[in-house]
Amino acid sequence: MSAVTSTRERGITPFFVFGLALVVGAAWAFYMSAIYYPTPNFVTAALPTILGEAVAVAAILAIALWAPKNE
Amino acid sequence: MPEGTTSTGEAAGEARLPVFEHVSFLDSAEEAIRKRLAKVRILDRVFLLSKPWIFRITMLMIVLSVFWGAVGGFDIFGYQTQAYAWALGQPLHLSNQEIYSALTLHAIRMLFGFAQQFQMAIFGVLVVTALGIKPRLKWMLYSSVFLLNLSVILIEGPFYLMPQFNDNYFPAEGWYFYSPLGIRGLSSYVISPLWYIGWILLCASVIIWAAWVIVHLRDWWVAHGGLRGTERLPPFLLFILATVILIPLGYVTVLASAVWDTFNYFGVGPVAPLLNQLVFWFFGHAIVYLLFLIPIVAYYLLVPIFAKRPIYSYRFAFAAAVMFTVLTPILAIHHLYLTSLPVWSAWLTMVLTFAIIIPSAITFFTVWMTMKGVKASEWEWNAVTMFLALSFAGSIAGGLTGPDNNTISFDVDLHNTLFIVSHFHTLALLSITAGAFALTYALLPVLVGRFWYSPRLAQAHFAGSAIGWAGLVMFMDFLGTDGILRRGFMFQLDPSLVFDQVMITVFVIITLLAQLFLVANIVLTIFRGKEVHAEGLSLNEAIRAIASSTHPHPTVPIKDVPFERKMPRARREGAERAWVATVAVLLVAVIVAATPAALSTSNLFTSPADAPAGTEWVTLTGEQYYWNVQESGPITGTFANVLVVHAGQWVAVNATATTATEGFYIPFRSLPVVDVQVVPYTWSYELFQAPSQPGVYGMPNAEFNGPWFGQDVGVLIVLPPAGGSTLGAYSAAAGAGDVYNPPVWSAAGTQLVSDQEGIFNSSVPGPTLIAPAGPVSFAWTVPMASIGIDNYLVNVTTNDPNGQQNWLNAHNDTLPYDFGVYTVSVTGPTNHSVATLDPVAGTVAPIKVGPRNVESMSLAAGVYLYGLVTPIPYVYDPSGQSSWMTGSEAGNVMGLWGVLWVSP
Repeated sequence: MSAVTSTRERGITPFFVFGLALVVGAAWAFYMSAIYYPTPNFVTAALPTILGEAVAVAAILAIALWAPKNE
Repeated sequence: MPEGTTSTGEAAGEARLPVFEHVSFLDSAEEAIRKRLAKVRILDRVFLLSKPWIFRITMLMIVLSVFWGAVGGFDIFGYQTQAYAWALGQPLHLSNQEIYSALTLHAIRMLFGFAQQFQMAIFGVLVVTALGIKPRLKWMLYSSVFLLNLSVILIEGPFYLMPQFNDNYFPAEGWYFYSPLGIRGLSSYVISPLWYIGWILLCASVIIWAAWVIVHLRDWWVAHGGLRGTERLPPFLLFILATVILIPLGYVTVLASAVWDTFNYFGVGPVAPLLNQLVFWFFGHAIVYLLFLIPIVAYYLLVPIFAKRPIYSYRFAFAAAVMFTVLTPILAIHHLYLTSLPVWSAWLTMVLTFAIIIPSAITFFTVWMTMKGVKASEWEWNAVTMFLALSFAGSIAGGLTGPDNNTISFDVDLHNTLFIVSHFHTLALLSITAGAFALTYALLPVLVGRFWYSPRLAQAHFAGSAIGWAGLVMFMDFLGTDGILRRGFMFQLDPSLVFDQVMITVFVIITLLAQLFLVANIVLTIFRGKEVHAEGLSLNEAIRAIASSTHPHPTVPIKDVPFERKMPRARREGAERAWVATVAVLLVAVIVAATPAALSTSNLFTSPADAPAGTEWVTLTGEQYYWNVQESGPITGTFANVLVVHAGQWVAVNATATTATEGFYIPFRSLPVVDVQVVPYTWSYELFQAPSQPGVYGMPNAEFNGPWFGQDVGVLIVLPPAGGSTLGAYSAAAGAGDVYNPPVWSAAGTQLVSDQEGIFNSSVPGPTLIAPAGPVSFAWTVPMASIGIDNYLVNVTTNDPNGQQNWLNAHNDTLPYDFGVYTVSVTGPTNHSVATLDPVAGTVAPIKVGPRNVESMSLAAGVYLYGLVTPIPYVYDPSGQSSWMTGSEAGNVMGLWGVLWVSP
C-alpha cells in the first residue's frame, strides 16, 4: 500500500459525512421541536413524538454501524 | 443506473413511431423555426438548437424554470423588503394587496413554474436517456410545456390582458385556495377567474406530461419483453414511475376543486367550502411529496454512481416506492386537523401519515448504507456530492419536524404559524432544491455538451445557498415558535421579533445572491466551457467526469470499476429489516401515546363543549375582516373583535364564518394555545379557560382571508374584579406569553399616531393605555401623510395618487367616522350581567386628519375602548376599474382602536 493511498484511506468517508449530515439534520429538528417546552401541553402533545424520533435516530446510528458494508 | 447505459438508444421503440412523427406540421414548423433561430449564436447555444429535440425541449423547460425561479425570487425579495420595513417602523412602499400577492405568486412561480417544470424536464430526459428509448409524441411534450407556462401567466392575473392596471390584478389568495375566498358572490375579496382557469390548464399540462412519460416507460417495458422480461427498472426510475402515478391522482383532485370553484364563481353549483378544501388538500399534500421525489431520485440515481456500486437493497427501495405511492394520495386531512371534520378521520389520517415515515426511513437508510465501505479516496466532494449531502441533512431536518405537525394535539400550537413555513422551506430549500441542484450539476453538461466552467463559482454557489437557506429557515422557525402567523408581517415590534425578521431579510439576500453564482456559471459554461467528449464513456462515467469539473483539483478516477457482490443479500436485508422493524415499533408506541390527546383535541373542535358551570358561551361569526362576537352566560353582550370574560372563566366558543375561512387563535405560551379553524357554512367549537390575570390578550385571525388580514386582530379582555385592578399581574406574567398582546403604555404623555395601514403605532389593536382613576388624557393624530389609496380610512375610487387627500381637503380634513372613548360597562348581577359599550361624554367626534387631538376626561376604574371601535366598509376600486375580470376587494376593516385600562 502506497503512502498516498494510506493517507487517503484514513480520510473521512462519505458514510461518515452522510451520517454526520443525518445527526445534524436530526439535531436541528429536535431543537426546533424542543423549544416549545415552555408550552403547557408540551409533555402530553409533543414529547412522545419527539422521544420516538430521538430513539429512531439512535437506532439508525446503531443499526448502520452494525450493518454489513455494501460490498 | 444499469452499467453501460448510453445516452442514445435509437433501437428501442423505432418500429412503433407514429407516422405523423415524421411528416407532421409540428415537425416542419418547428424545424423552420429552429433553423432561423439557430443562426443567432446565443440562441443556438442556450437553447441547444443543434441538438436532438428532446434535449432542446428539456433545455427550454430548464430555462423557463430558471426564469420563473428568478421571478419567484424577486417576489419574495419584494415581500421581505416590506416585512423588513414594517419591523423597523419604516414606511411600506407596496400595498397590502401587492405584499400578500407577492407571497402568493412567489409560491406559485416557485412550486410550479420552477420546481414542477424542473422536475418534468429532468425526469423526462432521464427516462429516455437512461432507458435508451427513442423519444416520441413530441406534440404531447410541447403542449405540456406550453400549457404549464401559460397557466403560470394566467394565475398571475389579467396583467397582460387589461389596458389599465390596478392592484386587484394580483391574486392575494395563498398558494392553496381556500374556498370561498376569492370567489365572486361568495367572498368579499374576489380574484380574477383567470386564477382558476390557470389552475385547470396547469393540471392539464402536468397530466399530459405524466402520460408522455408513461408511454415511454411502456415502450421500454414492451421492448424488454413485457411480462416475460427479466430486466428491472433502476431504483431511481421506480420513483419516477411513482411520480407519474401520483401526478394524475394528485392533480385530478385540484382539477376538481378548481372546476368547482369556477362554477361557483359564475353562480353555478353547490357551495360546500369544507368539502372543497378537503378535495383541494388531496392535491395540496401530494404536490409536496411529488416535489420531494426530486431529491429522492437524486439520491437513488447519483449515490450509486459516485459510490461506484449498486444500491444497498433493491427490494427495499422497491418497497419504499410502492408504500410512497400508496400512502401519498390519501393524507389530505392532516392539513385540516383544526376543522370540524369527524374525529375518526383525523385520527386515521394521523396514523397513516405516521406510516409514511416508513418509506422515507427505508430510503434514507438504504441510500446511506449504499456508501458504507466506500473509501475516502474513492469519493469526490464536488458540487454534486456536496449538494447531495446538504439535501440529505435537509430532508432529515425537514422530515423530522413533519411528525410534530402530524401530532394533532401538538398541531394546535403549530398550525398556520411560521413554524409550518419553516418546516416547509426546510424541505423546499434544503432538501428539494439542494437535490435539484445536485441533479443540475450532474446533468446539465450532458445536455449542453460542455463541462462546468468554474469550480469556484460552484463552491460559492453551494456555500451561499447552504448558509442562506439555513439562516432563513432558522429565523423563520424562531418567529413561528413565538406564535407568529404565516403571512403575518404585521406583528408587535418586540425587539426579538424585529431581530428575527431582520435576520430573515439578511438570509433571503444571501440566498438570492448565491444563485447569481449558479447563473454566471451556467452562462460561462454554455459559452466558454470545455466540450464534453463522451465517446467511450458510460453515462455513469460521463456524470462523474462532469461532476469532477466542479472540483478545483479532481483526483478520483471517473472510470467504472467492476463490482462483485461479496456481501450476501440476506445480510444486507437483515439490517434493513431490523431498521424497519424498529421504526414500526416506535411508530406504534408514538401513535398509542398520542391517541388520547389527539382524540380529545379533535373532539373539542367537532362538537359543543360539555362545559362546566359558569361557562361563558360565545358565538363567533368570522367576517372579512373582524369577528362578530355574541356572548351569553354570566356576561351578555355583542361586540366587534372584542371578547369580554371574567378572570379564569371557562369560555365555550361556537364559531362559523361567512365569506372566508377564519382562524380563532390566542397564542398563549403559559396556558394552552387556543386555535381552531372556522370554515364558512360549518360550525367549529372550542373550550378554553381564560387567563387568571385581568388584561388584554391579542386574538389574531389565524387564517389568511384577504388583503386586510393584518388588521384582523381582536382582543380577549379579561375583566378586573369589582373595583378594578392594575395590569401589574398581567405584565408580570408576560400576558400569558401571547406575542400578539398590544404593548402597555402609560396614557399620560402618549401620542398615538396612525400610519398608512390605518393603525396606531404599528400595533393592532393599538397600544393598551393605562392610567389611574381620575383625570385621564392622551393624544392621538391621523397624519395627512398616512392617507393614501392603500389606507382603508378613506374610501375614494380614483387613480389619482393624491385623490384621497384631495377628498379630505374638500371635506374639511374630516373622516366620516367617529373617534371616541367607550366604557366596557358590565352591569347587573355577577352571574347575569350585561356588557355594553357606552360612550364617555365629550369624547366622541368625527376624526379630523392632520392636527394633534388630545382626549381629556375623568374616568373611574374599569376597562375602556378608544378609537374607531366598529369595522368600517372599504372597497378598493380605483376609478371604477375593478370588475369581475380583474378581481375586486371589499371588506369591513377595524384597525384604529385599542384598550384603555383605568386602575383604582
